[in-house]
Amino acid sequence: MTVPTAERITAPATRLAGPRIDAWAKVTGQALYADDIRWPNLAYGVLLRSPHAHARIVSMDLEPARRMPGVLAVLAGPGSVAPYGIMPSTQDEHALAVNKVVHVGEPVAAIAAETREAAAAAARAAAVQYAVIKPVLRPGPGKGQVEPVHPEHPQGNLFKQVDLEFGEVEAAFFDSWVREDSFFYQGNNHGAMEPHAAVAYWTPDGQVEIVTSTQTPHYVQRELSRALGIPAYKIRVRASVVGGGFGGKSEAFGHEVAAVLLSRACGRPVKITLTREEVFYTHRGRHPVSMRVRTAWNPAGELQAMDFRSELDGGAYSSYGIATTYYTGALQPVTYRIPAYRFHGERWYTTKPPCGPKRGHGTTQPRALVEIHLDRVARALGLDPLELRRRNLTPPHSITVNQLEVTTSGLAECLDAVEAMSDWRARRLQPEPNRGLGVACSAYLSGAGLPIYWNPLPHSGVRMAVNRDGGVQVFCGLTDIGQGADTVLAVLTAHALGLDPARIRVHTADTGSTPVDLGSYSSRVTMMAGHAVLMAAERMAALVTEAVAARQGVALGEVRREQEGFWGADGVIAWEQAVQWAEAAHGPLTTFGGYTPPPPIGRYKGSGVGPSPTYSFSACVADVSVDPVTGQVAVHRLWVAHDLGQPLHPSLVEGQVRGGVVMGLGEALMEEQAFNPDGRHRGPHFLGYRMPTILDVPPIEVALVGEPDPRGPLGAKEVGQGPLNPVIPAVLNAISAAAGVDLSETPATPDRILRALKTQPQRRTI
Amino acid sequence: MSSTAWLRPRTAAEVTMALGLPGARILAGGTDLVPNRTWELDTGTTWVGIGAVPGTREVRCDAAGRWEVGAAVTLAEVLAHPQLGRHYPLWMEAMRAVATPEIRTQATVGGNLCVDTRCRFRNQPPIWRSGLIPCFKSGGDRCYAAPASRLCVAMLVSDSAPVLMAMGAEAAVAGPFARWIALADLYSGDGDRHLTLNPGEWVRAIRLPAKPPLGAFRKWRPRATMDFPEVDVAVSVDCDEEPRVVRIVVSAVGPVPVRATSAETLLESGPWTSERLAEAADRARAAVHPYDNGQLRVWGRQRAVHGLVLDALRQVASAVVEKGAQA
Repeated sequence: MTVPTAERITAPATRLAGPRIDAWAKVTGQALYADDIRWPNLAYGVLLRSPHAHARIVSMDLEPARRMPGVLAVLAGPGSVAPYGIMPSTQDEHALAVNKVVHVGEPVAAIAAETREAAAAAARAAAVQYAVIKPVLRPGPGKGQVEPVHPEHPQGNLFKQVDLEFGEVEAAFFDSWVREDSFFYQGNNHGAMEPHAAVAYWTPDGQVEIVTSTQTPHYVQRELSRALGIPAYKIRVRASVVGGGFGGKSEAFGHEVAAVLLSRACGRPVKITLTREEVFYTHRGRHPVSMRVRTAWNPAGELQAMDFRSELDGGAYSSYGIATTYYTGALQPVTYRIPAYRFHGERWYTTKPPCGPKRGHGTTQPRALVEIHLDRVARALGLDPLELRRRNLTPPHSITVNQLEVTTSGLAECLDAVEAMSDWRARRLQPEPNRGLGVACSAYLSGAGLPIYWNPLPHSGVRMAVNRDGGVQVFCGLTDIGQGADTVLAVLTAHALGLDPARIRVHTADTGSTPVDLGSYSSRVTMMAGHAVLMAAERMAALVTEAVAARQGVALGEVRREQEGFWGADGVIAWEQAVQWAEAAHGPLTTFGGYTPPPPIGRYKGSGVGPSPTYSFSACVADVSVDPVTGQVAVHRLWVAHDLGQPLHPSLVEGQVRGGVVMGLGEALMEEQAFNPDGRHRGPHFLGYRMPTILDVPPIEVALVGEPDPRGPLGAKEVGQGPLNPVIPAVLNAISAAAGVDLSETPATPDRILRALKTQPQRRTI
Repeated sequence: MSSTAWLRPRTAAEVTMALGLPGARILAGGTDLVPNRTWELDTGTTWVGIGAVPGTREVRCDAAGRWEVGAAVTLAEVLAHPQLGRHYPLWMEAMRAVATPEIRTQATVGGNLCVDTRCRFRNQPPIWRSGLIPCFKSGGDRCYAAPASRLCVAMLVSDSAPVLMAMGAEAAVAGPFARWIALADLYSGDGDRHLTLNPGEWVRAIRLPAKPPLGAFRKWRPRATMDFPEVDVAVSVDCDEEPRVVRIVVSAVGPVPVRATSAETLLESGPWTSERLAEAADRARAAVHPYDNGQLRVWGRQRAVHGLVLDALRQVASAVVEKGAQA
C-alpha cells in the first residue's frame, strides 16, 4: 500500500498533528542554544590546539599566556584524572593532550579569560614546542618504521578486528556464479549548523552544573564523572536547545571537561564555544571505509552467500569505533536474505580527527557498496535492478542468518512505490542521452537493542505528574536535537490521556530532574521514550479514571470520556475536577513508565550490535544527468519510500525524510572530510567542505508505506536515519547509468567523474 | 585582533592619500576583506571606503556608446540595471555566477576585479595555518602549492575578470597618474601582489566596448551557487574584423587569467569545423597549468579546461551562425 504522506496521517491520530511545541521559541529567537546562554559572572574559555597531525610535545611555556590581560586561568594536560571515552572498553581520551598530539586540532591547553578575545590572545601567547613525527594517514599496517599513533596500544595501529561467519559460506561460493566489487567511501562531517558549545560551573560547594549542546546528557554525565573523578550525582548535565547533532554530539568532549576544569580553577562559570574549524577537528563523523564485497548467486538470481570486508579509517581515538566496525557488517542480512554470510572488519588508528557515529552509523558505507554491487550483478545477469532486489528481500517476521529478528517489513512496498512514482519502466525503456535512473534499498534500526554500557535497566524512563490545575508534566531524559523528540513526547501524552496537547509541559534532557533516557542516537527516542511515556500515561489515566468511578459510584468499565473530561450522572465532569478527586484519593499524582527492548536472540561475540526491537525500510530512485564535458551531475528528482510503520506526526516525519535525503545527496555528490599529506584538513570550513545548497536539491517525492509494527509505540518505527541510506547508492547507480562508467569512490565530484570518463571504456547499454 | 580605522574620503585624491597610510586597504563591499580579517589573513589597519567619491557609484554611457561602470556599484545593481543586461549579456552571466544573492547585494564591480587571490594552502582558518612555515603570500619564502615556484601561485577567483578580458574592457586607474588600462594589464602574475597597481593607485571604474563581441562563459564549480570558480572560461569572437578577433581566456587556474593565444590563432581564420574547435580546446588546455591549490583535484581542473573551452566555442560558433543568418 502506498499512500502519500498527507493523506495517510490524517486518519488514525489527528490529535498527534499540530505544530512542534518548540516552533515559536525557535522562530522568534527565544530558544537558547548553548552559546546564547549567559550566566552571571561568566568567563570565556578557549582551547589551545595542536597545529600538527602527529608530534611530541617537547615543552610548553604557559607563563606568557597567564600574564596576558584579562586571563583568569590557564591549564595544561591531561586535564582529566582518568582516560575517558564513550565505550567502556576503549577509553583512550584525555581532555588535554599529554606528551604527544595525534591530530591537528587536538587540545593541549585551556585558557579562561574575561572575554573570548582575551582568551584567544592568551592562547596565541602560549609557547608550545613540538617535535613533528611522520603522520599516519592511511589505515593498515603501513610500511617502514613510523611511530604508532598510540605507542602503548598493544596491536600497533590496529584498533579492532572483527570476524563473523554464519552458514556454509565456502560451500556456497564453490558452486555458484560469483562477483566481487570494491569501493572507497569517503569520510564526512555532520555539518550541524550549531557548533558545539558548553557552559559549565563548578559551584563553591563542589557540584558541577553544565549546559551543553549534546545528544546524550546521560552519557556525558557518566564520562564527566570518570574524567573528573567525582561521583555522577554531583554532576548535573543539561542539554541546551540543540541546533542539530546527527551523531556529532553523542559523547563527552574535551571542551566540556575543560570548561568544568577552568571553572574550578577560576571560580566562575565558563563557556566554551567551538569555531567551525574546531568542529571539523572534533569531528566524530562518518568513517572513511575501504570495502570489498563478494557474492554467490544461483541461476534464478538469488543470493547464496556474501563475503564482506571493511577497513575503517578511525582517526586518532576510539569514540564509538567498536560499534561502528560491527555496524559495517551487521545489517546486510536485514535488507536482503543471505543464507551464508561472512564479515571481516578492521578499524585502524590514524593521525586524523577521530571518526564516530553519523546518521546511519556504520551502515551507510556498506549499504552504498552492496547496492552498487547489486546493480552490477543485475547488469551481468541481464535482470532489471528492481527485479533482482525483489527476488532477494528479507521476508517480514523472520530471523536473519546473523540472528537478528525482523518483524514487519514494507521493503517490497517501498520498491513498488518508488517504481510507480518514478515511472521506472517507461523511463528505462526510453533513456535520454547522458541521463539515467538508479535504485537502492536500505534498512535501519529502530533503536539499538543494547545500551552503550552493559546494564539491565530501562533504556528510557518517564515520570509523569498531573497537577490540580489540570496540566500534565512529563519528565524524561530524552534530548530534542531538532528532530522533534519533545513534541513526540507531548503528542503521545496528549493522545494517551485524551487531552489537548496545550496541557502538556515536557521537561527533558536534564540529569538533575529527569529519569534516564540514553539519548538521541540509533533512532531510538520515539521507540523507547514513546513506549515509556505511553506506559506512564496509561497508569495516569487509570488513576484518574478510578477516582471518577469511585466518586460516581460506578464500575470502572462504566466510565466514559467526553472530550477532555468524563460523562457523569449530572453532566460532564471536567478533567480538572477528575484530577482533583484523584489527588484527594492518592496524594500528588505521579506515575512512571519505562522501556527495555526485547533481549537479542544472538549469543555470539559481537551479537550486541545490530539487534533492534524492529527495523525500518526504505527505497530510493534517483533521476540524474551527467554532463560528459564538465563532469557535473544534475539530479533531476528523487523518489523516496519509507516504511516507518505507523507515522505519528506528519510534519516531523516529512522533515526527517527530506532532511535525511538531502544529507545523503551531499554525501553522494560533494561532502568529504579529506586531508593533505601533512594531515591538515583540505578545507575545515563551509567553503571548503561543501554541503548542498537549496539550488543543488531537486524535488523530492516521499511515500510512506508499511503497516503498524506490533513492537512500536502505536505501531511506529524509526524515520530519523533510514531514509538517508538508500539515497547515496541510488544517486551513484543513476550516475553509472547516465555516464556509462562506474565510480569506485564517493563523493561523485566533477573531477572524479571526468577521470572515470577518461580512464574507463564507456558502456553503451544500460 | 587589532582595531581598524575606517575612512570614507570624498575625493579621488583623498583616497590616494589615505592609501598611503600604513596597512591601508580599499574596503568596497567587504565580502572578501571582512572574512579574511576574521581569519587573520588580512591584518590591514586602515580601511578606505571609495563609495563617497563622485562617479564610483555611477553607471553611464559616453558619446561613443561605451558604458562606464563605477567601481563601487554593486553586482546586484549591475544585474538590475535596465540597459546593461541588454548590451552585455556575457558580463551579466558572469555577474550572476558570483557567490550568492546576499553577497551580490554587497559585493562591488571593482571588488570583484581586484579581489584577493586564493589558495588552499593559505585561505584556511587560524589553527590550520598556525603550525606552517609561512608561504610567500604569508610573508615567507616558499610555495606549498608549487614547491619549485619562486612566486606565489594563488588563484585569481574573479568571475568578471575573464569575461571582461574577453570583451576587451578597460579599467580606469586613479592615483597620481590616472589612466585607462586594458584589463589584462591589471594583473601581475604574482599571486602575492596580484595587481599591477602602484602604491596609492586604485580602480575607479571600468569601461565596456560600444559593440561587444559575441561570447560565452563557463564557470566550473561543485555546486550550483556560492562556490568560487575551480575553472572559469570566457570566449569571444568579433567577426566584423578581418581576420576575426578571437579571445579565449581561462581563469581561476593561476594568479592571472590566461589567454590561450595558440588556440586563438587557430580560429582567427579558416572554418570552425568541429575538428578545429576540438584542436583549439586541446591547445587551450595545453596553455594552462593549474596547481593543486583549488578544492577540486588538479587532474580534473586541467581536464575540465578542455571540455569547458570546447563547450563555450560551440556556443559561440552557433551564435555566429545565428547572427549571420539574421544579417
